[in-house]
Amino acid sequence: MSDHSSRAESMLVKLQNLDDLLTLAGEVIITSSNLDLTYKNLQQLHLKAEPVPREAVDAAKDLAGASAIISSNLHHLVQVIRTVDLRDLSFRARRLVRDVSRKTGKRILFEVEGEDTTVDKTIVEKLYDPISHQLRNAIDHGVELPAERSAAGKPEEGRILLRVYNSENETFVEIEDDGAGIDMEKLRAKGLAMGLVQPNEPWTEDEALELMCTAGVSTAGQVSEVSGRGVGMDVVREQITNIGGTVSFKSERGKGAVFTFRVPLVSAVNIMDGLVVRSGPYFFAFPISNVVTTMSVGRKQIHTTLQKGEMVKYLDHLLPLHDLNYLLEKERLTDEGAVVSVLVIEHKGVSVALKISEFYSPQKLVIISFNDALSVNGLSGATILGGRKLGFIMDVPSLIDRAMGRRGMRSAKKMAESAKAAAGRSEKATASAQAAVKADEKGKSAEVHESADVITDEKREETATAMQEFIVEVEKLLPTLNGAIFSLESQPDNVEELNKAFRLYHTIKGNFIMMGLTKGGTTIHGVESVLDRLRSKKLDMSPEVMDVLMDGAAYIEDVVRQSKAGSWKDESGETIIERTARILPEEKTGPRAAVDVASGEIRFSHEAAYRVIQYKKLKTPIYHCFIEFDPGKQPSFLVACLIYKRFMEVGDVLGSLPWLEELEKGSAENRIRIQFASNLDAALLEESLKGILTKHYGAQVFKFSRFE
Amino acid sequence: MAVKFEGMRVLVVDDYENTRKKLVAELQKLGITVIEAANGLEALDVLRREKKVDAIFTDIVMPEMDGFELTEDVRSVSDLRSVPIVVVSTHVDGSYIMKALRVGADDYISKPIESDIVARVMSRIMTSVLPEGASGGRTL
Repeated sequence: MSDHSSRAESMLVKLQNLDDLLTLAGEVIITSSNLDLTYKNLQQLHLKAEPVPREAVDAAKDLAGASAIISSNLHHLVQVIRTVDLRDLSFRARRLVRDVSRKTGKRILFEVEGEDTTVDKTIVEKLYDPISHQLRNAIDHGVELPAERSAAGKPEEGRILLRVYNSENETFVEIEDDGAGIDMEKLRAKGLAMGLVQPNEPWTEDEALELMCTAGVSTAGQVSEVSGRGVGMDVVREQITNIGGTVSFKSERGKGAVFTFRVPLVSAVNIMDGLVVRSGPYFFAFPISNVVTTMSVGRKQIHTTLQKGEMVKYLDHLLPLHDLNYLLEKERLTDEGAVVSVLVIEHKGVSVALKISEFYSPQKLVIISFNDALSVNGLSGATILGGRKLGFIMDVPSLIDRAMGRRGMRSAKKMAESAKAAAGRSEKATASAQAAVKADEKGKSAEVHESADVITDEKREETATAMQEFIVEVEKLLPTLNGAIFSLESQPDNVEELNKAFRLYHTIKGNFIMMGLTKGGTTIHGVESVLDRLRSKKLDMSPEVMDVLMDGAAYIEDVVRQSKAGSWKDESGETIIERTARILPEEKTGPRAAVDVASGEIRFSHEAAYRVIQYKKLKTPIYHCFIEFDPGKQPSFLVACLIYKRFMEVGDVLGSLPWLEELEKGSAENRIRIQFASNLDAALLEESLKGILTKHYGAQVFKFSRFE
Repeated sequence: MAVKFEGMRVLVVDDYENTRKKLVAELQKLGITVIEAANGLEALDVLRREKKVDAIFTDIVMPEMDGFELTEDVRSVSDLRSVPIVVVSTHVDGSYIMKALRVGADDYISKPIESDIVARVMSRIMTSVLPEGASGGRTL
């Protein structure tokens, strides 16, 4: 179970649930102290060899009753805490249906029933893939094109219903469409042709499903972009089986089909296919995917080499052979005859052979994961085997690491010994005072180095915490954002929802930028700008615009998901940027013609030109100022604009290069030339402007001259 | 020309608590007393109540009343016409910042907020171009 990573996952928990948990903890404490009291009473009676009175038995019985109630409440509460509603899943499903139906040219009315059904969080996460596969299938292969539908006397718009509900201990997911249904006869014919169906046997839906899950069997006429040929059914079933569920379907030709997934309500269900083995007194289960082969090897076929220990031949390779128990720091296996049972396991191309006592057949096992306190290197969990025996589930990657490490240890030990000897020699040679001083210095630098390491560790932890906060924050905002976007789909002019979506995108963008995810931030900024245009009525809602709004949310969800898995790198959402650019063409900021700020000609507006003439008549001096500055952490065009503003405090700005409109469009480098008129003393002007611009705006070059 | 910030009172307006707190902390490091508001309307309330506010730092995108409206409103009140306003927004919001500067803001800070920037912008807005006594302004 290599995906049992050590990364801590988190989820939002209602405060009320925690309060309830606290109350229960209180009851546990009371019960436990009462139990202690009862025990002491009984002990006294026992010591004095007195008969146990009725009251003492009753007290013990009450306690047993109370703790049974508490543990059942506790169990129930923890299950409740682990559940979440299906709103997020439903948002994602809606986006998918919208996307796929547009790609396939089909018109779909998609409805979701039971969004507020609560399901265990880990199950919800594992349900999305099979649901999305099945939705794709329903749109692509189920629902007909509008023309076909009206020819068949159906409404042009197909209907797909995703219904989720809980029964006593199962969650039901139904995906129903009113499309063409499954052509059972065609399917059967294919099965017959492939020899998978016997001609004279009755033909049931279960068999049909079996056939649909067989590679190469599909009734879809042609391969489509959306779901390929019959893609998914086997995958869908596998994914559902993996969470302990089942798949079934009903179909009526011409009227549609409904696929039903039934999955267990409780998630302790973590099921794997495992090979169970016995090794001395212990039982272990290996994930079947890591098992290469099992062999019975004659003792003579085991080679013992001095350097590498025992080796066994498998195909053309010699594999290191380990005693499994010894590897897990238990007593070695005692020899049990002339033939040794060997299990070969593999992970990422590294194979290791293990000596064990006995094999059992592969079986489905329910995994009980170890929590952190109980984590054991080499084991990932436990399972109950038939006959109520406890078995351990092997963590194959770490077991292989262990095996390789054990091998390496022998040579490492030797190296350490020789290093020690070398150190002894050099010690003798360098017994001078100078060397002592040097060693002291070395010690100091080592100390410094160490503290530097501590800082980076702290930093890393800080970043991890910030990341965690980022995920929690963004996750908190997502449902509201999704809600606003879907409201906009049906009521595009709802100002309140527009503002809400705009602000949420803005806040989320802020979070991205705060995390240093600038590319992500810029991507979301694009979506935000689209919403800004919508708000100010400079843009009308269209399917293309809606796409961008939805893509934005999907992108953010992706980032959150990947961040949780620890695999997120700051990447732009290319499709979003492209689509945004298409909607906001004038926002495109390509390379502009370079402006020669230093010597280019400053153009005046008509009004400014008139003012220039006035100033000349009034003999008001006109000045020229060229400034080159270090943009530092602030964008240059904004710094340039601030500088521009400063000149307005001391005079009348007549023109500039780049001119104000160019600055406002955000295109300016770190230089600006400004022409202004002022009645103030020239020396005072030069001195104060130079002072403030150098001190506060990072001006590095400042040229001031009177303009004639 | 070193500017002393101790004893100054600054109003910080942001609906998003995370950034607001960060900015508040940075200003407090400079010895500044900070008053907080979660949007433009709240900010106007504070301004009506408070006798002395030396500067306003405001976010742009906020519910109820955004930073643009707040800036315009503050500039329309004669007592407050000269109170420096600093907008707080992200790098990529260049056009918003520009718009805010056009409606009367004096400076800006990019999110995420870096501590040295806060002090730099504070001294920037508190220093006028001309030494005391000299008065400038538009000619004509």
